[in-house]
Amino acid sequence: MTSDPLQKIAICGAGLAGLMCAAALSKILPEDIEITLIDINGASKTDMFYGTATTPASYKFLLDIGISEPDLLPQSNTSFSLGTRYIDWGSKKRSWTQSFHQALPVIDGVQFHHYLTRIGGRRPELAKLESYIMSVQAAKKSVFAHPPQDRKIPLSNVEYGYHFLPNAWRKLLAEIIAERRIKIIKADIGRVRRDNHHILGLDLTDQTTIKADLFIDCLQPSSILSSERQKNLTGRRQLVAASSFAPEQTVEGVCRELTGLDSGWAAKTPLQNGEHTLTICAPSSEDSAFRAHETAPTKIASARIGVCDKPWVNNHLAIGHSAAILEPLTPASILLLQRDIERLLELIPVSSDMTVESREYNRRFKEDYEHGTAFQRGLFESSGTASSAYWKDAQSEPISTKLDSKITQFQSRGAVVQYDLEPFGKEDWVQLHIGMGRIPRRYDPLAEKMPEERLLQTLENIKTANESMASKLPSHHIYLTKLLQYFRKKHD
Amino acid sequence: MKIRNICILGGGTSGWMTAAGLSNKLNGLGIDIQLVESDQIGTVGVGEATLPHIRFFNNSLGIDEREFMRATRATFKLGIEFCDWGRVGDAYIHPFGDYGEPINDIDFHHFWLRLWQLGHKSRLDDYSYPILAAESGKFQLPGPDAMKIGSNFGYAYQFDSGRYAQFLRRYSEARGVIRTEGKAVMSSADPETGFITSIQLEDGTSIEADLFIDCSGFRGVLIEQELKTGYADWSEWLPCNRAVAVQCEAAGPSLPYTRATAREAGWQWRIPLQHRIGNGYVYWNEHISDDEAAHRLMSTLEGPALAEPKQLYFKTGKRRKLWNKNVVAIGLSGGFLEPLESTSIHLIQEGITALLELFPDKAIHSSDIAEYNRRMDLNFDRVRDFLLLHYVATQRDDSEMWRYFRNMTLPDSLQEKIEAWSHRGYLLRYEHGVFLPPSWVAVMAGQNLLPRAYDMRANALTLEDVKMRLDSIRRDSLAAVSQTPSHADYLKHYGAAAKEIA
Ligand SMILES: Cc1cc2nc3c(=O)[nH]c(=O)nc-3n(C[C@H](O)[C@H](O)[C@H](O)COP(=O)(O)OP(=O)(O)OC[C@H]3O[C@@H](n4cnc5c(N)ncnc54)[C@H](O)[C@@H]3O)c2cc1C
Repeated sequence: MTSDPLQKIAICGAGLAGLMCAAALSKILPEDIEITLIDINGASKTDMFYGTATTPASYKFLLDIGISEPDLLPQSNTSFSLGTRYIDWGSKKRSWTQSFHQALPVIDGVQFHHYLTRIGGRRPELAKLESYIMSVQAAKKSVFAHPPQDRKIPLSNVEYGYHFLPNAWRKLLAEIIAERRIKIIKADIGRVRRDNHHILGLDLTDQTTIKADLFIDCLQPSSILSSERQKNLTGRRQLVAASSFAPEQTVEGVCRELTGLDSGWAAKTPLQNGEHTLTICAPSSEDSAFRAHETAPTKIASARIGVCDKPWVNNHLAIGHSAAILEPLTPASILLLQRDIERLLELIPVSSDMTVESREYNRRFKEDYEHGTAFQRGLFESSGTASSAYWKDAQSEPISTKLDSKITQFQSRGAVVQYDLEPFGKEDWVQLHIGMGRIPRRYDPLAEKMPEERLLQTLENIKTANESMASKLPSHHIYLTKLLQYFRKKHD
Repeated sequence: MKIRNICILGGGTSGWMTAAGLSNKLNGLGIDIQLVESDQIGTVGVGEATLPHIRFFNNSLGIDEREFMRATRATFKLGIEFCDWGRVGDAYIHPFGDYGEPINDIDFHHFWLRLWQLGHKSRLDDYSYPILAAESGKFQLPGPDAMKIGSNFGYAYQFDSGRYAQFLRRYSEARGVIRTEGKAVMSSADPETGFITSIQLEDGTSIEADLFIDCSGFRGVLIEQELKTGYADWSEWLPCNRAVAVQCEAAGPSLPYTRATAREAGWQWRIPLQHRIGNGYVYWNEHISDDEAAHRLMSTLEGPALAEPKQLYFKTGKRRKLWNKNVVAIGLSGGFLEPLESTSIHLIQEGITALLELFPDKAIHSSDIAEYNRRMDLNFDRVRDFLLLHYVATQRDDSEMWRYFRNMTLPDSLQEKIEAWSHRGYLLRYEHGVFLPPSWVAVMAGQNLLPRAYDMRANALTLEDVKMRLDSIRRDSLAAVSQTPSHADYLKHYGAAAKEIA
């Protein structure tokens, strides 16, 4: 290897980002790289903005950093998630389930949704996408089981993420890290020693100085560590998040329910031991947003939404909220945090010259956040009447060229425009567009080739197979309870 | 309003591939497809080596592999052997498949590099079944278990392009495509939209259509001569601008790969078919005369020439819009990238696929055109970078041409890729584009561009573990090759050999 290999990494901040990053590095990097985690006060203040729902990508991510379901489920109140149900969303008060699902079938070379557009003209009752998505059918009945390998079984099309609470995951991660080879220091940063943009060391309040080859910043946006490039966030909106928790014995539901409110929205997330409520609103409508909680919110945080321009400068890399904060409207926030960490793992510097690593990290960061932000922006109309500050601000956010092409192509002909390595796949976009009422004006002319009779039969078959499957599955609550019993018994 | 008629102008590889693809997919939708070609003008007809994607194209047409191979005298292709590229005397094969297999999600080459840097050097090629099979002239179809060594590779064909066009012509005509022989001499356009409404042939026949596919070759009869779309000239990066091609008799059994040998002023191809070998010298005319190039080609043939050498002229680049108004340019009319990695037929295929996916109404939406052009531009750009890589990842400086590449400022997209690889064996990935990371590894490592460092995560395994994993992959690959029949035998046994050969 090169003459001055990387030896020491310092992670600043033990919020969700810092802890996840520490778990990942300690699991995956070779033993001879020294990892220090500085547990700085207040690093978890904005963690609520990671939301309460992850995507299917979390399963593998957690496994890779050393957390499997037998650890995750008994040791936190995490539950399974089949997606989010949007209720009374936007000015048109739309409702649909945005589920996690394998790619929708391609029949005779034609993507499935084109057949729905075709049939929708005459038989709108047959054109409801949700009837043909196994995950949605399961979500509606609140049933769940792990999807099998066998592709002939409709359940194999289901994908799932998790419902979680950032503080529960922090606790779990902290326990895991305590048993790893990480040095943990509890102190604050007194002074950052810099030479231009290069960090030389951190003087801590416990009178020690931390030196490292790479400093990973997992603090707040615009913290003592941030450089000018990292402070420069693109977004303009300021949002307030409030959360409350209602303990319950049995929690039904395997889907987050997110209801549009005048003030913003409220999401109810079913967890193992109760239901969590998260509201998001503009600062001016806090009072009305808080009324959406059954009990007064116990945690409140405010943040400016936005993405920085260059998260990695010299030996200073900003991860998670120190680089970008998204609205926790979709699982994009947590998904992109995972991607931050994966990107870092693939680009752990090989020497003190980090030019190549930082350039590539920043390029991928930019694309990932551009794509993730587009998905979230896609949940808002581009114009129209907005009732309050929250909706006005959201609608006035710019629509990127990429999002514009996606919407135009879908509305015009149902084509799903895709870019390289997007965080959200075709099936996510199709559900989103249709949920938002973007019904294609035309469909793939090749969809015309299937005889009507066969089309009706095909649709009927998928629908009944899904319904019959859903009726056989156990309720999510029972499935999870039994699984937990099994894990605990095995553990003892 | 729906499209009712399509006119394909040109009956070379692109014209008939387009006719076959459209007639198959649009069958039953009441769309008439006509194809106009001119014997007087003829075709380029040298494109004979392909990429694995061609199999998906043939499959989607429902073509039987054996029948197709017999009809086009096709051989199997496991990759391309590049001779004299990194240095004179070097040779490596760019295979259709990965090297080894990832360990803990980390690309195989990092582990190989780790051993290499510790002095345990081995050939990266020894971890690739398709390379080992190609080297010993062997072939068999991948087995059913795509995870197993000996099954996890792709393959393509080398075929007689004239016969392929004929094959697809029969296919298309059976599906209702009407072929007209004649030379297009004029066209009429709608004064308001500028859309082409009809073309007129020399004999006075007029052919009307809603959509025109320009497959007329380098001329770009509709896209350029009529619509004046413009051409993005890439000869600054890929300056070779001529070729001389000739077929010769085969001297020995056919090999399952194409060869591309670097020369002082370009490079020479060798494409083995069942019954003959296609040869050609692609060159930059500033540095070698046509006569010299022809002489060089003829003097290196393995068997007697079967015809007079054919001279070809081109300019590397791409039409500014591959789809303009109601004309879609597919094939050489859309652009030309030298055949170093057999990409032309693939780009034809991409064009057909994208057109079908974005198939327009009669009043063509500008958003469809924009999306089509975006996709195709990306394809062209990415192929361009990959081709250029061959010329710049080299130590050669023994002629004017090679020195030209030494001093070149590369496109950022390529420069960053090379730097990331050289610095740490990292590959900049993309999803949409033909050459995936293993192809980049093949060329960069094959041309002696080895990274200075590797992914640290590869150190998490013990050295013993790494050695064991690598040894077992190498052993399994060799064992699989020893079980593989010779390519020539396999062709016969499989039923792919033409009558006169079987
Ligand atoms: C030197 C060289 C080597 C190559 N090697 C490979 C390779 O190994 N692999 C690969 O994939 N590709 C290769 N290619 C590219 C490949 O040859 C072409 O992509 C392929 O042949 C398609 O050509 P085409 O059909 O677009 O054009 P052409 O073959 O030129 O066909 C044009 C057609 O248009 C007709 N036409 C033109 N004008 C008129 C008119 N006015 N009226 C009526 N008809 C008209 C002609 O009669 C003809 O039928 C190579 C190209 C060159 C130059």
